[in-house]
Amino acid sequence: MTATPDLNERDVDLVRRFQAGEDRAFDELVQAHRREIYRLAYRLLGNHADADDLTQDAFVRVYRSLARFRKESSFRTWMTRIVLNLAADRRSERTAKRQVSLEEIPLKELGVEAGPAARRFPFAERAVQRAVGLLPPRQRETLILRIFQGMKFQEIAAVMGCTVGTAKANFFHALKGLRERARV
Amino acid sequence: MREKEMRRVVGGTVRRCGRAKELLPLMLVGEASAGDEEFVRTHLHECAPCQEESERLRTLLGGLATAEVPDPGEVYWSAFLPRLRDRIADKHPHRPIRWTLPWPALSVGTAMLLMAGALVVGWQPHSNTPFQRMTEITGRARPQEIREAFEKVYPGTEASLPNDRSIQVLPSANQMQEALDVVLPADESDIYATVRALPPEAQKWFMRVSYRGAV
Repeated sequence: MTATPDLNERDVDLVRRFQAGEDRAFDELVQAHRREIYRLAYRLLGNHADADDLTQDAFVRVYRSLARFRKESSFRTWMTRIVLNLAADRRSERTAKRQVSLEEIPLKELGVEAGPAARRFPFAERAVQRAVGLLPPRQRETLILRIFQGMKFQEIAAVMGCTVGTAKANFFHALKGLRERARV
Repeated sequence: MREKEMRRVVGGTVRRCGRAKELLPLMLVGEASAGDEEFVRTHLHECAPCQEESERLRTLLGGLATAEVPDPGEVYWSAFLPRLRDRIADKHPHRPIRWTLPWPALSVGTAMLLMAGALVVGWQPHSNTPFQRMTEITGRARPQEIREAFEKVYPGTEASLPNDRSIQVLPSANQMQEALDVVLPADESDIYATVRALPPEAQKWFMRVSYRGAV
Protein backbone atom coordinates (compact mmCIF):
# COMPACT_ATOMS: atom_id res chain seq x y z
CA MET A 1 0.00 0.00 0.00
CA THR A 2 1.32 3.42 -0.83
CA ALA A 3 1.93 5.50 2.26
CA THR A 4 -0.92 7.98 2.62
CA PRO A 5 -0.18 11.55 3.75
CA ASP A 6 -1.66 10.67 7.18
CA LEU A 7 0.74 7.75 7.64
CA ASN A 8 3.60 9.89 6.43
CA GLU A 9 2.73 12.58 8.95
CA ARG A 10 2.55 10.01 11.71
CA ASP A 11 5.99 8.70 10.75
CA VAL A 12 7.43 12.20 10.54
CA ASP A 13 6.06 12.95 14.01
CA LEU A 14 7.45 9.70 15.47
CA VAL A 15 10.87 10.27 13.91
CA ARG A 16 10.93 13.83 15.24
CA ARG A 17 10.01 12.61 18.74
CA PHE A 18 12.70 9.92 18.65
CA GLN A 19 15.29 12.41 17.49
CA ALA A 20 14.27 14.65 20.35
CA GLY A 21 15.15 11.83 22.74
CA GLU A 22 11.79 10.07 23.23
CA ASP A 23 12.81 6.42 23.00
CA ARG A 24 9.22 5.16 23.07
CA ALA A 25 8.57 6.74 19.69
CA PHE A 26 10.77 4.01 18.21
CA ASP A 27 8.47 1.32 19.64
CA GLU A 28 5.53 3.00 17.94
CA LEU A 29 7.40 3.05 14.64
CA VAL A 30 8.09 -0.66 15.03
CA GLN A 31 4.45 -1.44 15.82
CA ALA A 32 3.36 0.56 12.79
CA HIS A 33 5.72 -1.02 10.26
CA ARG A 34 6.71 -4.46 11.53
CA ARG A 35 4.08 -6.50 9.65
CA GLU A 36 4.75 -4.81 6.33
CA ILE A 37 8.50 -5.20 6.79
CA TYR A 38 8.12 -8.86 7.76
CA ARG A 39 6.02 -9.56 4.66
CA LEU A 40 8.57 -7.81 2.45
CA ALA A 41 11.42 -9.76 4.06
CA TYR A 42 9.52 -13.02 3.63
CA ARG A 43 8.91 -12.35 -0.04
CA LEU A 44 12.55 -11.46 -0.57
CA LEU A 45 14.02 -14.44 1.28
CA GLY A 46 11.25 -17.04 1.11
CA ASN A 47 11.04 -18.42 4.64
CA HIS A 48 10.02 -17.44 8.14
CA ALA A 49 13.36 -17.87 9.90
CA ASP A 50 15.24 -15.59 7.49
CA ALA A 51 12.36 -13.12 7.32
CA ASP A 52 12.27 -12.90 11.12
CA ASP A 53 16.01 -12.40 11.35
CA LEU A 54 16.01 -9.79 8.60
CA THR A 55 13.05 -7.89 10.08
CA GLN A 56 14.73 -7.72 13.47
CA ASP A 57 18.05 -6.67 11.94
CA ALA A 58 16.37 -3.99 9.84
CA PHE A 59 14.81 -2.41 12.93
CA VAL A 60 18.12 -2.61 14.80
CA ARG A 61 19.70 -0.71 11.93
CA VAL A 62 16.86 1.81 11.94
CA TYR A 63 17.35 2.34 15.66
CA ARG A 64 21.04 2.92 15.15
CA SER A 65 20.63 5.32 12.23
CA LEU A 66 17.40 7.11 13.02
CA ALA A 67 19.15 9.94 14.84
CA ARG A 68 20.90 10.78 11.57
CA PHE A 69 17.84 10.30 9.30
CA ARG A 70 17.44 13.60 7.44
CA LYS A 71 13.95 13.05 6.02
CA GLU A 72 15.10 13.50 2.44
CA SER A 73 12.80 10.59 1.63
CA SER A 74 9.82 9.19 3.53
CA PHE A 75 10.54 6.93 6.48
CA ARG A 76 8.91 4.05 4.60
CA THR A 77 11.13 4.56 1.55
CA TRP A 78 14.22 4.75 3.75
CA MET A 79 13.26 1.65 5.72
CA THR A 80 12.48 -0.31 2.54
CA ARG A 81 15.92 0.56 1.20
CA ILE A 82 17.46 -0.81 4.40
CA VAL A 83 15.51 -4.06 4.00
CA LEU A 84 16.56 -4.46 0.36
CA ASN A 85 20.21 -3.88 1.25
CA LEU A 86 20.12 -6.38 4.10
CA ALA A 87 18.36 -8.93 1.90
CA ALA A 88 21.01 -8.48 -0.77
CA ASP A 89 23.72 -9.07 1.87
CA ARG A 90 21.93 -12.23 3.01
CA ARG A 91 21.68 -13.53 -0.52
CA SER A 92 25.38 -12.99 -1.16
CA GLU A 93 26.20 -14.72 2.14
CA ARG A 94 23.99 -17.61 1.09
CA THR A 95 25.69 -17.84 -2.28
CA ALA A 96 29.15 -17.61 -0.74
CA LYS A 97 28.40 -20.32 1.79
CA ARG A 98 26.20 -22.31 -0.60
CA GLN A 99 23.64 -22.23 2.16
CA VAL A 100 20.23 -23.53 1.21
CA SER A 101 17.08 -21.97 2.54
CA LEU A 102 15.28 -24.44 4.77
CA GLU A 103 12.14 -23.82 2.74
CA GLU A 104 13.97 -25.31 -0.22
CA ILE A 105 14.78 -28.56 1.58
CA PRO A 106 11.99 -31.12 1.25
CA LEU A 107 10.38 -31.50 4.67
CA LYS A 108 11.01 -35.25 4.52
CA GLU A 109 14.74 -34.60 4.52
CA LEU A 110 14.34 -32.66 7.73
CA GLY A 111 12.43 -35.58 9.18
CA VAL A 112 9.28 -33.58 9.76
CA GLU A 113 5.77 -33.73 8.42
CA ALA A 114 4.26 -30.94 6.36
CA GLY A 115 2.84 -28.53 8.91
CA PRO A 116 0.11 -25.90 8.64
CA ALA A 117 2.45 -23.45 6.93
CA ALA A 118 3.11 -25.90 4.10
CA ARG A 119 -0.61 -26.55 3.72
CA ARG A 120 -1.24 -22.83 3.34
CA PHE A 121 0.89 -22.82 0.20
CA PRO A 122 -0.85 -24.85 -2.49
CA PHE A 123 1.39 -26.07 -5.28
CA ALA A 124 0.50 -23.35 -7.80
CA GLU A 125 1.30 -20.57 -5.33
CA ARG A 126 4.61 -22.18 -4.44
CA ALA A 127 5.43 -22.50 -8.14
CA VAL A 128 4.79 -18.79 -8.64
CA GLN A 129 6.78 -17.96 -5.51
CA ARG A 130 9.65 -20.09 -6.77
CA ALA A 131 9.45 -18.43 -10.19
CA VAL A 132 9.61 -15.00 -8.51
CA GLY A 133 12.64 -16.22 -6.59
CA LEU A 134 14.40 -17.09 -9.84
CA LEU A 135 14.13 -13.61 -11.33
CA PRO A 136 17.26 -11.41 -11.42
CA PRO A 137 17.48 -9.42 -8.14
CA ARG A 138 16.52 -5.95 -9.45
CA GLN A 139 13.53 -7.34 -11.36
CA ARG A 140 12.42 -9.41 -8.39
CA GLU A 141 12.68 -6.45 -6.03
CA THR A 142 10.76 -4.20 -8.41
CA LEU A 143 8.02 -6.78 -8.83
CA ILE A 144 7.71 -7.34 -5.09
CA LEU A 145 7.61 -3.63 -4.30
CA ARG A 146 5.02 -2.94 -7.00
CA ILE A 147 2.71 -5.92 -6.64
CA PHE A 148 2.96 -6.86 -2.99
CA GLN A 149 4.01 -3.64 -1.28
CA GLY A 150 1.80 -1.55 -3.57
CA MET A 151 4.46 1.08 -4.21
CA LYS A 152 4.19 3.41 -7.18
CA PHE A 153 7.05 3.39 -9.67
CA GLN A 154 8.20 6.78 -8.47
CA GLU A 155 8.62 5.44 -4.94
CA ILE A 156 10.28 2.27 -6.22
CA ALA A 157 12.76 4.42 -8.14
CA ALA A 158 13.53 6.34 -4.95
CA VAL A 159 14.02 3.12 -2.98
CA MET A 160 16.22 1.51 -5.60
CA GLY A 161 18.15 4.59 -6.62
CA CYS A 162 17.18 4.44 -10.30
CA THR A 163 15.01 6.38 -12.71
CA VAL A 164 11.26 5.82 -12.99
CA GLY A 165 11.86 4.55 -16.53
CA THR A 166 14.30 1.92 -15.28
CA ALA A 167 11.85 0.83 -12.59
CA LYS A 168 9.14 0.41 -15.23
CA ALA A 169 11.51 -1.50 -17.51
CA ASN A 170 12.49 -3.81 -14.63
CA PHE A 171 8.82 -4.45 -13.94
CA PHE A 172 8.14 -5.20 -17.60
CA HIS A 173 11.03 -7.67 -17.80
CA ALA A 174 10.06 -9.25 -14.47
CA LEU A 175 6.57 -10.02 -15.74
CA LYS A 176 7.99 -11.33 -18.98
CA GLY A 177 10.43 -13.56 -17.13
CA LEU A 178 7.76 -14.75 -14.78
CA ARG A 179 5.45 -15.66 -17.63
CA GLU A 180 8.17 -17.70 -19.24
CA ARG A 181 9.10 -19.47 -16.03
CA ALA A 182 5.60 -20.06 -14.72
CA ARG A 183 4.33 -20.82 -18.25
CA VAL A 184 1.23 -18.70 -17.80
CA MET B 1 3.85 -13.77 -33.85
CA ARG B 2 6.79 -11.63 -34.86
CA GLU B 3 6.80 -7.86 -34.55
CA LYS B 4 6.92 -7.29 -38.31
CA GLU B 5 4.00 -9.59 -38.97
CA MET B 6 1.96 -8.01 -36.20
CA ARG B 7 2.50 -4.50 -37.42
CA ARG B 8 -0.07 -4.22 -40.16
CA VAL B 9 -2.73 -1.80 -41.32
CA VAL B 10 -6.38 -2.61 -40.69
CA GLY B 11 -9.09 -0.06 -41.49
CA GLY B 12 -6.58 2.76 -41.61
CA THR B 13 -5.26 2.04 -38.07
CA VAL B 14 -1.66 1.01 -37.63
CA ARG B 15 -1.42 -1.80 -35.11
CA ARG B 16 1.38 -1.08 -32.75
CA CYS B 17 1.65 -4.38 -30.91
CA GLY B 18 5.14 -3.71 -29.59
CA ARG B 19 4.15 -0.45 -27.96
CA ALA B 20 0.90 -1.91 -26.65
CA LYS B 21 2.79 -4.78 -25.03
CA GLU B 22 5.13 -2.34 -23.35
CA LEU B 23 2.28 -0.28 -21.98
CA LEU B 24 0.00 -3.17 -21.05
CA PRO B 25 1.65 -4.03 -17.70
CA LEU B 26 1.60 -0.37 -16.69
CA MET B 27 -2.07 -0.12 -17.60
CA LEU B 28 -2.93 -3.25 -15.64
CA VAL B 29 -1.32 -1.87 -12.49
CA GLY B 30 -2.97 1.51 -13.01
CA GLU B 31 0.12 3.51 -13.85
CA ALA B 32 -0.31 4.26 -17.54
CA SER B 33 -1.14 7.84 -18.50
CA ALA B 34 -4.67 8.53 -19.76
CA GLY B 35 -3.38 8.81 -23.32
CA ASP B 36 -1.43 5.56 -23.15
CA GLU B 37 -4.37 3.75 -21.61
CA GLU B 38 -6.64 4.95 -24.38
CA PHE B 39 -4.11 3.77 -26.95
CA VAL B 40 -3.88 0.30 -25.41
CA ARG B 41 -7.65 -0.10 -25.05
CA THR B 42 -8.22 0.86 -28.68
CA HIS B 43 -5.47 -1.49 -29.76
CA LEU B 44 -6.86 -4.41 -27.74
CA HIS B 45 -10.24 -3.99 -29.47
CA GLU B 46 -8.59 -4.52 -32.80
CA CYS B 47 -5.89 -7.07 -32.06
CA ALA B 48 -6.83 -10.56 -30.90
CA PRO B 49 -3.26 -11.73 -30.05
CA CYS B 50 -2.72 -8.69 -27.82
CA GLN B 51 -6.08 -9.28 -26.20
CA GLU B 52 -4.97 -12.83 -25.37
CA GLU B 53 -1.71 -11.45 -24.04
CA SER B 54 -3.67 -9.04 -21.89
CA GLU B 55 -5.75 -11.88 -20.43
CA ARG B 56 -2.64 -13.93 -19.65
CA LEU B 57 -1.05 -10.98 -17.90
CA ARG B 58 -4.23 -10.32 -15.95
CA THR B 59 -4.27 -13.95 -14.80
CA LEU B 60 -0.63 -13.78 -13.79
CA LEU B 61 -1.03 -10.54 -11.86
CA GLY B 62 -4.21 -11.84 -10.22
CA GLY B 63 -2.39 -15.00 -9.15
CA LEU B 64 0.50 -13.00 -7.76
CA ALA B 65 -1.75 -10.69 -5.81
CA THR B 66 -3.44 -13.59 -4.03
CA ALA B 67 -0.20 -15.32 -3.00
CA GLU B 68 -0.15 -14.32 0.65
CA VAL B 69 2.65 -14.54 3.15
CA PRO B 70 1.57 -16.75 6.07
CA ASP B 71 1.17 -14.60 9.17
CA PRO B 72 3.38 -15.90 11.98
CA GLY B 73 0.59 -15.34 14.52
CA GLU B 74 -0.13 -13.20 17.54
CA VAL B 75 2.27 -15.09 19.81
CA TYR B 76 5.06 -14.12 17.47
CA TRP B 77 3.98 -10.49 17.23
CA SER B 78 3.55 -10.08 20.96
CA ALA B 79 7.15 -11.22 21.48
CA PHE B 80 8.50 -9.19 18.57
CA LEU B 81 9.25 -5.93 20.34
CA PRO B 82 10.78 -7.46 23.50
CA ARG B 83 13.04 -9.59 21.28
CA LEU B 84 13.98 -6.54 19.27
CA ARG B 85 14.83 -4.63 22.43
CA ASP B 86 17.02 -7.57 23.51
CA ARG B 87 18.74 -7.51 20.16
CA ILE B 88 19.31 -3.79 20.29
CA ALA B 89 20.77 -4.17 23.76
CA ASP B 90 23.03 -6.96 22.42
CA LYS B 91 24.23 -5.04 19.40
CA HIS B 92 23.91 -1.52 20.58
CA PRO B 93 24.05 -0.97 24.31
CA HIS B 94 23.37 2.76 24.12
CA ARG B 95 21.54 5.26 21.96
CA PRO B 96 23.60 6.52 19.01
CA ILE B 97 26.71 8.28 20.25
CA ARG B 98 26.45 12.02 20.31
CA TRP B 99 29.51 13.98 21.24
CA THR B 100 27.92 16.10 23.89
CA LEU B 101 31.12 16.40 25.90
CA PRO B 102 33.19 19.44 25.03
CA TRP B 103 36.32 17.36 24.64
CA PRO B 104 35.93 14.01 22.84
CA ALA B 105 39.36 13.11 24.17
CA LEU B 106 37.87 13.06 27.65
CA SER B 107 35.31 10.44 26.55
CA VAL B 108 37.99 8.30 24.94
CA GLY B 109 40.06 8.51 28.08
CA THR B 110 37.07 7.50 30.23
CA ALA B 111 36.36 4.54 27.95
CA MET B 112 39.96 3.40 28.18
CA LEU B 113 39.86 3.62 31.95
CA LEU B 114 36.63 1.57 32.05
CA MET B 115 38.14 -1.08 29.76
CA ALA B 116 41.25 -1.30 31.91
CA GLY B 117 39.02 -1.70 34.97
CA ALA B 118 36.98 -4.41 33.24
CA LEU B 119 40.13 -6.35 32.38
CA VAL B 120 41.25 -6.18 36.00
CA VAL B 121 37.98 -7.74 37.25
CA GLY B 122 38.11 -10.45 34.57
CA TRP B 123 35.26 -9.30 32.35
CA GLN B 124 35.13 -10.88 28.87
CA PRO B 125 33.11 -9.68 25.94
CA HIS B 126 30.28 -11.86 24.56
CA SER B 127 30.72 -13.67 21.27
CA ASN B 128 30.13 -11.65 18.15
CA THR B 129 26.58 -12.55 17.26
CA PRO B 130 23.52 -13.98 18.99
CA PHE B 131 23.74 -16.99 16.69
CA GLN B 132 27.31 -17.71 17.68
CA ARG B 133 26.29 -17.40 21.30
CA MET B 134 23.38 -19.80 20.83
CA THR B 135 25.59 -22.26 18.98
CA GLU B 136 28.08 -22.15 21.81
CA ILE B 137 25.31 -22.62 24.33
CA THR B 138 23.65 -25.52 22.55
CA GLY B 139 27.05 -27.08 21.89
CA ARG B 140 27.56 -27.39 25.63
CA ALA B 141 24.11 -28.66 26.57
CA ARG B 142 22.74 -32.18 26.94
CA PRO B 143 19.54 -33.16 25.06
CA GLN B 144 17.36 -33.30 28.13
CA GLU B 145 18.62 -29.91 29.16
CA ILE B 146 17.71 -28.35 25.86
CA ARG B 147 14.23 -29.78 26.19
CA GLU B 148 13.96 -28.37 29.66
CA ALA B 149 15.22 -25.03 28.43
CA PHE B 150 12.60 -24.97 25.69
CA GLU B 151 9.98 -25.88 28.23
CA LYS B 152 11.14 -22.92 30.27
CA VAL B 153 11.08 -20.52 27.33
CA TYR B 154 7.76 -21.88 26.07
CA PRO B 155 5.85 -23.43 28.96
CA GLY B 156 3.76 -26.35 27.75
CA THR B 157 5.89 -27.04 24.68
CA GLU B 158 7.07 -30.43 25.78
CA ALA B 159 3.72 -31.53 27.11
CA SER B 160 2.10 -30.84 23.77
CA LEU B 161 4.85 -32.15 21.49
CA PRO B 162 2.88 -34.66 19.38
CA ASN B 163 -0.01 -32.33 18.54
CA ASP B 164 1.18 -28.79 18.80
CA ARG B 165 3.33 -28.00 15.80
CA SER B 166 2.80 -24.29 15.94
CA ILE B 167 5.76 -22.77 17.76
CA GLN B 168 5.99 -19.51 15.95
CA VAL B 169 8.43 -17.50 18.00
CA LEU B 170 12.12 -18.03 17.71
CA PRO B 171 13.81 -17.57 21.06
CA SER B 172 16.33 -14.81 21.33
CA ALA B 173 19.89 -15.49 22.37
CA ASN B 174 19.17 -13.93 25.73
CA GLN B 175 16.10 -16.08 26.33
CA MET B 176 18.00 -19.23 25.51
CA GLN B 177 20.97 -18.16 27.54
CA GLU B 178 18.82 -17.46 30.59
CA ALA B 179 16.97 -20.74 30.24
CA LEU B 180 20.10 -22.80 29.71
CA ASP B 181 22.01 -21.08 32.47
CA VAL B 182 19.60 -22.76 34.88
CA VAL B 183 20.06 -26.30 33.63
CA LEU B 184 23.45 -26.33 32.01
CA PRO B 185 26.31 -28.47 33.23
CA ALA B 186 29.48 -28.44 31.13
CA ASP B 187 28.98 -31.49 28.93
CA GLU B 188 29.08 -32.61 25.29
CA SER B 189 25.79 -33.72 23.87
CA ASP B 190 23.93 -35.17 20.90
CA ILE B 191 22.04 -32.06 19.87
CA TYR B 192 20.39 -33.54 16.80
CA ALA B 193 18.82 -36.47 18.62
CA THR B 194 17.08 -33.88 20.74
CA VAL B 195 16.29 -31.67 17.83
CA ARG B 196 14.46 -34.47 16.03
CA ALA B 197 12.14 -34.77 19.00
CA LEU B 198 11.20 -31.08 18.93
CA PRO B 199 8.33 -29.47 16.97
CA PRO B 200 9.09 -28.56 13.33
CA GLU B 201 9.56 -24.84 13.89
CA ALA B 202 11.97 -25.51 16.73
CA GLN B 203 13.79 -28.02 14.52
CA LYS B 204 14.12 -25.42 11.82
CA TRP B 205 15.52 -23.00 14.31
CA PHE B 206 18.16 -25.47 15.42
CA MET B 207 19.00 -26.35 11.84
CA ARG B 208 19.43 -22.68 11.17
CA VAL B 209 21.68 -22.21 14.17
CA SER B 210 23.74 -25.16 13.02
CA TYR B 211 24.07 -23.78 9.51
CA ARG B 212 25.17 -20.46 10.86
CA GLY B 213 27.57 -22.03 13.28
CA ALA B 214 28.99 -24.80 11.15
CA VAL B 215 29.47 -23.29 7.71
